[in-house]
Amino acid sequence: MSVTVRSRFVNPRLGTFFGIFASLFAAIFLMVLISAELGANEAWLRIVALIGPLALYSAFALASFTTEPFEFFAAGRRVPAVYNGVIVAFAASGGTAFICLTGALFLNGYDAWCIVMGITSGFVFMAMLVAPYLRKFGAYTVPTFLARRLESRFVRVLAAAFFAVPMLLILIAELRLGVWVAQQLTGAHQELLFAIIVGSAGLAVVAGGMRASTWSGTAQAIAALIGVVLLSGIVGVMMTNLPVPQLSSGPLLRGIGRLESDLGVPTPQTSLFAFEFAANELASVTGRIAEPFASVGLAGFLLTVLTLALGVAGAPWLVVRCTTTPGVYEARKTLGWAVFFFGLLVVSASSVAVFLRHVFMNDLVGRSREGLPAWFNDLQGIGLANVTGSVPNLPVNAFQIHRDAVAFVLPQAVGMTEVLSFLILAGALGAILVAVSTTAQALGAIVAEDVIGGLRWSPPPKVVRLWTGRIAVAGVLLLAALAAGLFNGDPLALTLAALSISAATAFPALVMAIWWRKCTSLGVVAALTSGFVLSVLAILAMPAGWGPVANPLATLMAVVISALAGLIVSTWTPLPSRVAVERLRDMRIPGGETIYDREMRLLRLRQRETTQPAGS
Amino acid sequence: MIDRRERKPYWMHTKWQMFVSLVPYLLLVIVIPIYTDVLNSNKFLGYPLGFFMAGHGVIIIALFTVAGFVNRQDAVDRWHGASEDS
Repeated sequence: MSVTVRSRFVNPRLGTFFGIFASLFAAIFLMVLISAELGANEAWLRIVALIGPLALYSAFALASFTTEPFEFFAAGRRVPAVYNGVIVAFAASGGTAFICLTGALFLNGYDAWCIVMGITSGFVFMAMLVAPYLRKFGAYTVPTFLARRLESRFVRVLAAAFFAVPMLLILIAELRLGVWVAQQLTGAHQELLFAIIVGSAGLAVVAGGMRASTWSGTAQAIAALIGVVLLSGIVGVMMTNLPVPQLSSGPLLRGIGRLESDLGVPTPQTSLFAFEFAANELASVTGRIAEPFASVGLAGFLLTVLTLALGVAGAPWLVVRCTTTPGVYEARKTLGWAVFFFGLLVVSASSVAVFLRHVFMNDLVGRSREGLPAWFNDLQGIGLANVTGSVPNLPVNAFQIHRDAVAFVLPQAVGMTEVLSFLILAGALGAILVAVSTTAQALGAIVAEDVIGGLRWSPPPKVVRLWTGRIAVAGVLLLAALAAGLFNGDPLALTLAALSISAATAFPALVMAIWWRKCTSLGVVAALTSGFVLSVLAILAMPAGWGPVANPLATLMAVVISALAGLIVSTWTPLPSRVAVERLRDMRIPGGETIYDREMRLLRLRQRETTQPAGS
Repeated sequence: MIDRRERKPYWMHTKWQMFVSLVPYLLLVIVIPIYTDVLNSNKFLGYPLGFFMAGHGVIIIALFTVAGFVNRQDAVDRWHGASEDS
C-alpha cells in the first residue's frame, strides 16, 4: 500500500482504542442499571455516572501527554478527518445544542431550526472559504495566521484581544451549563462541580494541549452520541416500533398537529424581526410544533441563520482545529464529517423533543390538576416544571417546563428507568467538555503565542514555548471558571452572542486575508476593529436578556460594515509586499510543505548556523 | 508540484468551484423557510414537508454540498497538478 501525504502518520489503532472506550462507557451504564435494579443506593449510582466517564476521558488525556510544541499546538498534524469532524461538530454544538436546543425545539417548535440551519451552514462556509487555506498555512492560531499573512505584529495582538472575548463567552456558557447538568446528575455543591469539570478539562489541555484535547474530546463526543442516539432509539422503539427515531418520528409529529388542532392550540404569528426564544427558566409552549414563526419572525429567522453561519465559519476556536489534519484534502473532509455528526446529534435531539411533546399533549393537556402523572409532579417538586390554573381541563399554556430539563425528563415521562436520564446527562457533560477543552486550548494557544510572544516573529525555545502554553491554558480555564461563577447568564444566549461577535470580527478579516490579494494589514485592522466594536455595541444596546439575537439585523449590519471598512482601507493603503503576495499564492495551492512548518524549519536552520559557525 | 503558469487558471477554477457549490446551497437555505407554510401542506416520511426540510433536509443538502465540493475540488487540484499527492 502506498503511503501518501493524506495517510501518513495516522495511528492505525485509533478505531480499536475508541471501540474499547465505547464498550467501557456502555459497561459503566449497564453496571449502574443492574445495580439500580438490585436496589443499590441511588446517590452512589449518580456519582458513578458522573465520575466513571470522567475517569475514562482523563485516561485518554494522560495517555496523550506530550513534550513537543508541534504536538501540543497542532496534535502533530495527524488527526484523521472523521475524528476531527466529530470534535468540530461537538465543539460547535457543545452542551447548548445538546441541552438547550432540545428544549427550544420542544417549546418553540419549528423556530428553533434556525440555530441548526445556522450552525450547519457555518460548516459549509468554513469548508469552502476558510479551512483548506488555514490548513495549508498551518499557523497554530488564527491571529498568528493573520499576522504572518499580512506581516504585522499589531494585527496579531489586536486580533488576539478581540478573539478572546467570544471565546471567553463560550467558556462561561459551557461551564455554567456543565455545572447545571452535573447538579441535575448528582445534586452536589456548585463549587465542587466547578472544580471537577474545570479539573477534568484542564487535565486534558494542560497535559497534552491540542493532542490530548483531540483524543479525550473524541471520547467525550462518542459518549455524547451514545447518550442521545441510544435514548432516542430506545424510546423510538417503544413509540414507533422502529429504532431510527431520526426518521420515524414523523407520524407522531403529525399526530401532535392533529391534537393541537383539536385542542385549539393557538398559531400566533410574530413580527417580521422578532426573536423570542425560551430562556433557561420555566416556559410555556408558544404555538404548534410544526408551524413556523410563532416566536421568531421570518426575517429574524433568516438573519439568525446567516449570522450563525458566518460566526461558525470564522470562529477562531473551530477553524484552528482544521490545522491538525494530515493535509488540505482531509481539512475539507473534516467539515463534511462535522455536518454528519452535528446532523445526527440535532436530528436525534429533535426526536427527543417530539417524543416528549407527544407525551405532553396526550398525558398532560386536558387533564385536571389532580390527574397529572407522577413524573410531572416529581418535576414540579424539584422546580423544573409548574402548572397554573385549576380548571378541570388544563390548556396547553397552563403548563411550564424548564427549557434545559426537556432533554433528560423523557425516560421518566415514558415510564422508563431513571438510569437512562443519567446516560443522557453524562452524554451532555461529554459534549460540554469537548467545547470547554477545545475553546480553552485555542484561547490558551492565542495567549501564549500571540499575546505573550506576540511581538517577536521567532518562537521562544521549545521548553519555554511548551510551558508558556501549559500555563496560559490553565490560566484561561481558571479565569473562565471565575467569570462563570460570577456571571449569571443564559448559556444559549451567551453562545449566540459569542457567534455574533465572531461573525462580525473574525469572518470578514479571515475571508479578505485569504481571498483578496490586495488586502492590507491596515484594512484588516479596520475590519477587526469596526466589526468588534459594532457587534459588542449591538449586544450592549439591546435590552438585557437575549442580547444581539433580539435583533440579528444589527449583527449582520456589523458584518457588512466590517467588510466594507476592510475593503475601503485596503484600497487606500499601499499594496502588500511581494513576499506577502507570494506567501498568499503558496497558501492557495494544496500541494507542497505547510507554510508555517517550513518557516519554522528554516528559522531553526538559521539559528543553528548562527550558534555553530561554518567550519566548526 | 504545480507549474507556475498553472497557478492563475487553477485559482480561477477554484473560485468558480467555490461559487457554484455555495450559491445553490445558500439559495436553498433562504428559500426553504420562506415556503415553509406551502411545503407543510405536503408530507414526507410522515413529517410536514416544511418542518422536515428545515431540519433534516438542510442537513442532508449540506452533506451532499460539502461531499460534492470536496470531490470536485480534489478533481480541480489534480487537473492542474496542485494536489498534495502530485
